[in-house]
Amino acid sequence: MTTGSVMALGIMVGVMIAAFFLTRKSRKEECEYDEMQLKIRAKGYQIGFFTALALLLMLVFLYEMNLLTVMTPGFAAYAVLIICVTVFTIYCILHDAFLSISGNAKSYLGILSLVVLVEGFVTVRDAVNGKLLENGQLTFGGGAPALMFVCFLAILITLIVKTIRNGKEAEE
Amino acid sequence: MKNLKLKAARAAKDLSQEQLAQLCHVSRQTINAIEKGDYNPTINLCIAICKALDRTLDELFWDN
Repeated sequence: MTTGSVMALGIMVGVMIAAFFLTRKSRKEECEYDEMQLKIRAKGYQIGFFTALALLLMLVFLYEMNLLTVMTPGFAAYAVLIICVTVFTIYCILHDAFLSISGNAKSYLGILSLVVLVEGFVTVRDAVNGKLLENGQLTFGGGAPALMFVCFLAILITLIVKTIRNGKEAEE
Repeated sequence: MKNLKLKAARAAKDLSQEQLAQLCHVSRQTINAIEKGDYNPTINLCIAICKALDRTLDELFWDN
């Protein structure tokens, strides 16, 4: 494992621990999602799970046939995980189950914009320095920021469109 | 099927979807989905809506 991978793993674990404690605190304060949202989120988890299953089966097939040479198996597995989370998030946003009852879209838009900017900057920097690919393959070190940039950008765009549509609907 | 009785009762009380949602502790989108007939609420939510609008379950959720 390289120093960069260890650092990235450390950051991920740190974010996960912080997210766990933050959501635990907010859950104590009030019930976050209503019954319709919980039902939609359950369906979202199901869709995410089957997306992972389909992608992993596809990966096994592609690697067995030596058809997927643009990325390492490790990065491919990581990509499946991130894609599943993105699919779940976008499904929830489109069906009004992403934000909690008292959730504020503006704060999420701010955080997402910041993440997209940072990941975009790192991706462009890596591309310019030629660090995006290693031996012609996407790896965790070079590919992770690019993948995160694409996924978070998709989530951000979906949230912006949905917020505008909900705003118009509320006015009616 | 649209729940026009709920929409009418809400309008009679001069409440917006947002205000009714706050009274029932749900999101505005959930009230909107119920009015549009896209979501069937549980009996608990039906009761909460009825209490907020001072109506009975029959008046809002029973189809003749």
